[in-house]
Amino acid sequence: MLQKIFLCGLTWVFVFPMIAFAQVPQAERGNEHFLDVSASIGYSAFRDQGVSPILYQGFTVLGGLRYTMENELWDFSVEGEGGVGFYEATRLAVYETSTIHVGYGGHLRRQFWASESARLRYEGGLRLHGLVNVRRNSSLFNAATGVTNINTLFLSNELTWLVSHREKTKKSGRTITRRRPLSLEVNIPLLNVAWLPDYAYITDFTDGEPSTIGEHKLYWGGLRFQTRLSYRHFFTNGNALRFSYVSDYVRTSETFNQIDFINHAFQFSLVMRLH
Amino acid sequence: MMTFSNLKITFFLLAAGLLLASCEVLFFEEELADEARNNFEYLWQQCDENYSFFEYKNVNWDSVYDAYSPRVANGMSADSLFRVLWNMLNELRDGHVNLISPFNVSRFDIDLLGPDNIDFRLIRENYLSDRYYTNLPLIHDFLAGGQIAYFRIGSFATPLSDGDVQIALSRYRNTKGMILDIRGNGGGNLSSVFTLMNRLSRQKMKVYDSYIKSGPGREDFSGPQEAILEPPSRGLRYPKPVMVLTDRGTFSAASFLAVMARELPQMTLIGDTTGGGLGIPNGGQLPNGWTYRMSISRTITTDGQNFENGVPPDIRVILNDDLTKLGIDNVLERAMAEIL
Repeated sequence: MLQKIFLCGLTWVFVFPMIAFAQVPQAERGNEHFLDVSASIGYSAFRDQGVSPILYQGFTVLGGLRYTMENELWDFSVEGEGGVGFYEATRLAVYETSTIHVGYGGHLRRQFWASESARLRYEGGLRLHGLVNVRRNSSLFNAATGVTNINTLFLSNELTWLVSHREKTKKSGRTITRRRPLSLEVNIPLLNVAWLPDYAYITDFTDGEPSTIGEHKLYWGGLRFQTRLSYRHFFTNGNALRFSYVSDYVRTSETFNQIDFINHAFQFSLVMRLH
Repeated sequence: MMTFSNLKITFFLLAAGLLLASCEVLFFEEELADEARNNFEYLWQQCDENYSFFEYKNVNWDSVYDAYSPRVANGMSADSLFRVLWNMLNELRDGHVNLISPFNVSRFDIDLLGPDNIDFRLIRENYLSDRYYTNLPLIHDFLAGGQIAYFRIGSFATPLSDGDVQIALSRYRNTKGMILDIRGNGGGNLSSVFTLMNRLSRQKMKVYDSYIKSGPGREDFSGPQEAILEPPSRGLRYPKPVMVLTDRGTFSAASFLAVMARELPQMTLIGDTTGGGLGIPNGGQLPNGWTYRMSISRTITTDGQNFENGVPPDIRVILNDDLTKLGIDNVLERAMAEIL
């Protein structure tokens, strides 16, 4: 049943936009398309309880791309990111672990409310985000490498305040707009599913080689929570700079192999208007 | 210019964003404190839920807890704690169980359970030519006037590639048989064993079943997973008689080789019982950062036997001290006689 709900959510996020956008040609503001190129660095903490009770702390560096299509009613995006993390824990000695991160996902939100001046507005919808995490800690022998994949369907909410909004008509007669929106995005989990190593953290080795992803299993449940506080500074040509503070908390279901991951990142993005 | 309400809303969004971003304490459990009792309890529990040979080795792990728990108190030195945990782990009598700290590594000396059954200098001085070939981990040469191939593998820690095996075998294709000397081989890379044994096997066959721990219960195992030897369709093979020399120092991956050799009709085990170590070890970490490993699987032969404590030889031969003084390796001599 959970799988069906998850697949429905996935379909809704990625297929519904095509229908939705096709139905809003009458919107006053036409469809705008943006491509974000971003880089982020932040504090992270990581714990793989299948092999260690220690919360490793360090930093994660990520680079990403995001395509966004939005109009007065709808906001749709797909995104991908990748990067590495280096964490350590100090006890009698310093223990280190590193990770490779790959993130992917997208959202579809509809505007449900706007203030009379249209400077404050609320969007709500769904967001799907997945995180592949390859953990490497050579001191853990056959469990030195752990591959996990965590996917979450969120109820996505965004409150946007236009800190500054000016329209100016140039001599050529073309109207240009300067916008400086400040947004708070809060993503509340609806469904969480993690693909984690099986009990022994070592699988098929009948050919002599333990397989890192041979017998992973799906675990439903757990918690995930994402927030993004972002400020966009649009230029007159429609491009923008975006400064964001992104936080992501992940906790898989409470089993022997529970994964905990925290990331607080400052993200800088170049937002390019595609046409 | 920002108006007052503009400032208020901006401030509200910033404050709400930062507040929400700081609620991780609601999500995550605190770390276990790095205290001696926590480390002891954690290690005991990990063994209790993951170790695979309690029944086979007749170890009452609850009694072990009762015996060692009173010896652990918060505030004791790291060295004292290490010694207590080492002693507790050695109750498992398993060479695949270790505790690794920044200042010491615990071990169970399985090789001391039997006599040292090899003196490689004796072989170099009295059997091999001055220019024997070395392509680590493989040392090889002709014996008995070119009639026998001698392969010595002292460790599988260095991976053995299929190319290396084929190059070595090509030199001995006209010999009557091979002596594969894995005495004192403490193991290493199990894939190297498959690489070698595939080339020495005559036909595709199952050589053992593996069962891997799949839950915290004593008998929670998944499997069986079949281990298959399959001669490669291309390249050189060596299907002639092979005498495999073993002793108590033949452990882990080398013991797996001995299990496979039992299944192959052209192979004979000569020497002493191996050290066993047929449970694949897996690792973890204690709250104080020390790491450990323990056996988390079982290996069962095709005739249903568990040789975790050692694979017995087909022909038992112990190195004779009187003969070694005369420059004779009686284990090797017996193997040569079997081929010739």
